[in-house]
Amino acid sequence: MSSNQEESVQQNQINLDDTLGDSSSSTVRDAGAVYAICTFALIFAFVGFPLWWKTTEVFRVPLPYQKMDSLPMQKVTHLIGVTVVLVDNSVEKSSLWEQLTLFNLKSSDQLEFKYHFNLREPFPEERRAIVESSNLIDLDRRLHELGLMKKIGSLWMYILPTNMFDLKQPTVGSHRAAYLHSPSSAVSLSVELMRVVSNMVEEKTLRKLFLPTSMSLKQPDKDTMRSTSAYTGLDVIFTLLSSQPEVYDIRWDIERAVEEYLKPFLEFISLIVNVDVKSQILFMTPLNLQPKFLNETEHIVSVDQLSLAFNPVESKLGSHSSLNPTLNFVTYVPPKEVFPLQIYTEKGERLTTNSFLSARWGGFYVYNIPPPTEGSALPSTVYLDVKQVMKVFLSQLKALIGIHHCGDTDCSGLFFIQNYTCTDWELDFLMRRQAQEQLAKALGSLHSLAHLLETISNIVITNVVGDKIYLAIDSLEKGIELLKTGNLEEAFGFIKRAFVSSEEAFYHPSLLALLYFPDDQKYAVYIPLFLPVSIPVILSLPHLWRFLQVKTKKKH
Amino acid sequence: MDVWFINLLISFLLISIGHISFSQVSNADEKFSSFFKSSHTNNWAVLVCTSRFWFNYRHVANVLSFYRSVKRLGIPDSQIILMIADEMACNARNPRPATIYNNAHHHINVYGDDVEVDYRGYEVTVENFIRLLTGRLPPNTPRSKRLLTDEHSNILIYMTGHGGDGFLKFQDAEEITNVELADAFEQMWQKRRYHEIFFMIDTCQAESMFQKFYSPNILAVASSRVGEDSLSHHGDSSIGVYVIDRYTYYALEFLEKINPDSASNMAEFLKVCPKRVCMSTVASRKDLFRRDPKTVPLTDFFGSVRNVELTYTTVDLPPLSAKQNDTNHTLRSNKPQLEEKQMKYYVDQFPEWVFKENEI
Repeated sequence: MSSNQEESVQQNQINLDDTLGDSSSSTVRDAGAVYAICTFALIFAFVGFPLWWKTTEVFRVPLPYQKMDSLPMQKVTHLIGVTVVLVDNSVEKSSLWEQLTLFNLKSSDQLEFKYHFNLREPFPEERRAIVESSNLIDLDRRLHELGLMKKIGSLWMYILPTNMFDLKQPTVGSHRAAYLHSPSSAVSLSVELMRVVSNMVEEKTLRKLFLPTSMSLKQPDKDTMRSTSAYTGLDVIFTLLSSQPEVYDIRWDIERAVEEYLKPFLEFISLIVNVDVKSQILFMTPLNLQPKFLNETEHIVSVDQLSLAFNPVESKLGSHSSLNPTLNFVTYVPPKEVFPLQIYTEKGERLTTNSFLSARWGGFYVYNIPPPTEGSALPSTVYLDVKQVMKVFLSQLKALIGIHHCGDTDCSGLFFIQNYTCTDWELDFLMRRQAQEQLAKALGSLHSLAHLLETISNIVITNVVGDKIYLAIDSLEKGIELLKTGNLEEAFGFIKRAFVSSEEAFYHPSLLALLYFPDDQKYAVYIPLFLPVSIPVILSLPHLWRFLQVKTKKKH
Repeated sequence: MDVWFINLLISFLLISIGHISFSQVSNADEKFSSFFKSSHTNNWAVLVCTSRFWFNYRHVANVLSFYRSVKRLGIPDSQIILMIADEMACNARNPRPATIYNNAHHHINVYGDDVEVDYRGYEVTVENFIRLLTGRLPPNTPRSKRLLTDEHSNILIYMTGHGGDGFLKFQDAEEITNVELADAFEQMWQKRRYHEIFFMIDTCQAESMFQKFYSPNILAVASSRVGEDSLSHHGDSSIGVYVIDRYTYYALEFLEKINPDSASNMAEFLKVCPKRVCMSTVASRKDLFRRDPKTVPLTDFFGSVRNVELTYTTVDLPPLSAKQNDTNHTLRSNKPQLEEKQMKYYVDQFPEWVFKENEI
């Protein structure tokens, strides 16, 4: 056995010598060759390989993947403070308290609403306000002026004696209070109370918005589709379409209307969203809105025609500079040939408002102007009634930004004190809704990013993006914590920050830095680079092996 | 034998599970239709021609013809992203400058009025295309170069150029692979940037481009199978080049008959250009798409049919404060423009005030 091996080693040495071309000092040279092989192999293995590995690695800041994955499953609890003021002494406090606590059962849903009830007698100043005010609207105003109902997201329920203010149904005030008269039993009072509360909070609507994880199969519904979701800024553009400037010289004082009607509303919601308002007049812009029928007095357009109506002018409407979602409000003055243009509903009824809205797009209002009398000088100057226009658009704007009460919950038997801007509790709802939407979006973004980093290997995460992700996670946790303690306003601030920074992280241009370096083509790049070095090194390894074996034998 | 039987059983179970989940979706669809007519609120189109050079005239004609069709069917310019890699209309070899025809009879100049090209020339790169899809554009990118879609957007993506097995060439310099494209769609899906995508591609071995897709809600159609070439339809001797590709030609012929309110469905469109006229086999992929193409109206992708909701109630507003009379106000605001004549003067040739300020 051993002699055989000896022979083969010798043969091998001869081969090596041949290649070296000198046979006299074969063993010395042999050792030299072996050392060279060793050096090459070691450099290749310990310098070359790690260097290659390090330099071609996709740069990724270590991220809290587990948190990014688990956050979307986390329970979100809204704590809503409800102060029940018992003006009516006949109500049994303890039994009402017992009944109310029953509503706070633990739910298995990911989204939970908890009510923190607080029963109390009215303060002296409240009592004075109640005695002094002549009707409910007056009372609502006076109570608001006392400045007790400042906290965003909380509600105040006043239980009034049965005969006071002629209160027939539970009434929701224009601030954060609602007024009920006390029914006979604590049970029915608590049920009634909870109905009012859930109407003001709109639990159902909020529940539908929260689906960061189960986003794929869920079919959207009317409400979620209609309103623009999760925004930090909005553009509102009022457009007047004057299709026949040669007939009508239309003037509209939209500036004043915006100043008087829209501004109070926008200032009110500026806590949540900043709205940019612009207006424009477009001339000679025919629309795809030809009446199909004609009755004695009107030119009729049906609902199915409306969906294609504004496509021709669409590209002329929007703003090209801002990246915010845009809501268009279009007032259309039809040509004199089709006066009066009237929209009819699917059931064939006359639509008195003559207007419609398109989901996430804006509103549309047909403003009929009687044609000028024959023989009069053209164009005839017409002043639009901007109040009429604003009436339509304000209601549409409210719906489009997501204030749409009585959408999902049954609010029959409730009475609402309205003001034309927006009530305090509607503002609270909008804030809660935005918080909810932005929370869902931020959680979704982080979750998808974690998922994508797992599946697509060449996404780069730079330090900047990493910081944004950490900031988002941090703010999210704080936001969720604050929601749990019922601090809506502060929670919204954190959630908004989380939303913005998670969006920025996901859409950061640097994520695509290795776009031209996909995994499936890496080897095509590397193999030509590595073959010239690696083939000789690998081929010489057997020689090295044999040489070492011979050496160890000799020692023995 | 036993193994075979178990396999059969398992596959049967799987199939039945698939059926159950599918029927649930369609139920939800039915419920939904009572609210809005479709489950998307807006339509977008991304039309891409990736070829340079005069002899690729037909690719520009392809994409411009599609542009014309989707615009006619109602997708507004603001929601069409048009990428054209070369300027055929202004090419020195074009015997009819500023025109591009998709037909030897010169019926329609597809480079006619109102063509808004969003990415042109050397801007048409793989990087820009992927950035456009995934939304990872530099912050100073204008709105017209962005795909501002949301979870309720249907997107039509049409691509044409020269391709091979698993890639599509951009500009003669680089190519997009099917893996990159599939990953881009997955990133869009994860970020809820689309509701449904209809992906069309007219290139050689086009089928290979959609084989790697793995994100849901994508319907794809390609002009040829792997191993097949897509051919051009006809040449124009007065221009000296081929003017349109076969598949696009027949697809457009079909689209020409469609109106914004017609009831044709996607299944009909997928059958366009049979092998005897196309010379290549049109391939489609439906497994990622959750709806049956027979029930999907063509206008879900090629048109822009809006969801409309009638407004029944309006808010009550107080009258405008009576500080000014309506008419007076408007007149007054208009008058000064008429009355005041602005003094006009030449701009200083050497604006001294600039230097003076600097000295201080």
